[in-house]
Amino acid sequence: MTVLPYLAVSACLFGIGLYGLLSSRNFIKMLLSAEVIFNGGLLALLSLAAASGAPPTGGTIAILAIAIAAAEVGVAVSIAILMFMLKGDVDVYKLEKFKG
Amino acid sequence: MFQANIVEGLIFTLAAALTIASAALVVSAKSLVYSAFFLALVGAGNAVFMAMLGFPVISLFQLSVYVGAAVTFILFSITMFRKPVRIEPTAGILALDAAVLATAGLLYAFQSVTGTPVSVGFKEISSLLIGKYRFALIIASLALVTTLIEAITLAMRGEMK
Amino acid sequence: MQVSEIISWLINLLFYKPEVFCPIFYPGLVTILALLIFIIWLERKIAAKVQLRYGPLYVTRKAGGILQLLADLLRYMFQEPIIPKTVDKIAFIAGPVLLFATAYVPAALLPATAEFTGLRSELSLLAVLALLTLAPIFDIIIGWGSNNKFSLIGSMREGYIVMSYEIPMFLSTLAIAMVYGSLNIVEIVEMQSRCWGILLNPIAAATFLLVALISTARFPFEIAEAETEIVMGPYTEYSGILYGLLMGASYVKFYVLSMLFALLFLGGWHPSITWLEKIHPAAPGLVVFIKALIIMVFGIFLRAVYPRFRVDQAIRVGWHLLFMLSMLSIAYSLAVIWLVG
Repeated sequence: MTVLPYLAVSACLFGIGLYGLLSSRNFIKMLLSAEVIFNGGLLALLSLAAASGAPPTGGTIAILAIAIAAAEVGVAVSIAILMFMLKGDVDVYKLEKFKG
Repeated sequence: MFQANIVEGLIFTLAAALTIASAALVVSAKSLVYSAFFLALVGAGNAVFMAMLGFPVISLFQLSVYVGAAVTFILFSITMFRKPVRIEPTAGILALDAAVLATAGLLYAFQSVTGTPVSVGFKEISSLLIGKYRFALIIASLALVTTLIEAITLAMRGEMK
Repeated sequence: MQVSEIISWLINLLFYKPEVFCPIFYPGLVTILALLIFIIWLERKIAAKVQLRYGPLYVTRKAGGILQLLADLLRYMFQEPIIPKTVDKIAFIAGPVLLFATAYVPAALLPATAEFTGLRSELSLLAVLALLTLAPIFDIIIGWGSNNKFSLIGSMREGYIVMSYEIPMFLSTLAIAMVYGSLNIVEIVEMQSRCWGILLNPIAAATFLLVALISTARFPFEIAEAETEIVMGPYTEYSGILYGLLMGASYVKFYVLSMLFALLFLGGWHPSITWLEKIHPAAPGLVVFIKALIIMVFGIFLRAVYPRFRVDQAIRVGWHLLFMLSMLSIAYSLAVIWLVG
């Protein structure tokens, strides 16, 4: 069994996550879709690492990526909580104040 | 050898079905709590793939850190939003187009990749992590500590209000 | 002839294949059920003794009511599980089943003896820990799905407490794994034949024991299901076999953590009793079980003598005390490695 089927699954995850990200305006929902994309990306990273010459390097990067992802979820959820405290909602359309 | 291949294919098919169905449910579930729960299932299915690709350490790391901690955190903050959450009806065909195009593009890009699953022990990864990638490890730890401090600050702020 | 062959094949499969024996008999399902019946009876009996009562008595009066829990289990089985109209049905029904399953799976991965283990892996300790962290998700899901304010408050408390004990649990376990330089439970136990882990790193042992008490809602920390405050916490709406599963799940988790404590810190199957091996290859594992049972009895004794912490006090214990202790235990491990080499 080659790594191709894994890559196919990762592409599907990426597509599903992208659809969810684009088609919702709820902040938490967007975060969850982004996490699906992250899972797809992680799977692609590891499959390509297995196919490459130095699998342990890819594994190390994956571990760092997972740790950073946990931190990122913390940051994003904190933003959502603050937004909920200030606006009473998590609709991203109401984030006009933060426009550049 | 032949039988092992069949078992591997069966596990892969099951895990792929579970993961993709869960991913679809993350996007389409009405309730955010269900979305978060299915995200946990996506993470768990992904952990199965990682173990099959030959990275058992990363698989277990994903299961404990990502599924265990991150998803508990998400569930938790979602449950805190007591208001029924509005979810907009699908923002049209554009998102679907983009998603299908992205998937097709990725599949096209990946089709020439050749390679087979490997086997990577935790000693190799940990030696890389504390050797060559020491600086990245420090940065990642700092990021985690920052998140911790931020969460505590946020909790204190809620208390003061 | 044919039949006897099939029977001997079945016996061989069930009793002498560790991959089958470990999940089903020891340290798996059968042991867990027997232990549940015994330990909950003992818990009620000890609490009764301390409070100058009799405790469960009428079922098998001669043996002090030891079959009371069997009777309760039968009652739960045949009682109608009431599903209220307002709950989220899928979460309400699937939650307890998945909670019990995720609490049970790590037990199946624990080794019985050095040769007789269900999971042979370099990373078995990490696997058990990773699976242990999955159970709280379902606690939160059922609290949310019950659509009841007591359930929601209970599961919120559970969520807070999970966050405060998870990091110390990982750090203290990794501290002892660092001393032995291995993440394989069997290897760790084999290295304890001369010196137990609790002597090598007492700080990690203390942290792990406290974490075990917190994570399974033993008494000073029985906060999520505080009966006198929030009815039954997340389990308020449950009845029948679903409630039985929920109640069993926390004891199963406590059993897994006690076994883990016995394996990591109390020398596992050392001192090994070799003549037991003639009875059955898994029999020397009884030593681990007895050690774990002592831990469990200690844990349930606390119910009789301690009041309950408030949730903020428990979180303070988690972050101020346990987090610092687990950091200290890592430093201690490094010192031990540096000194002993």
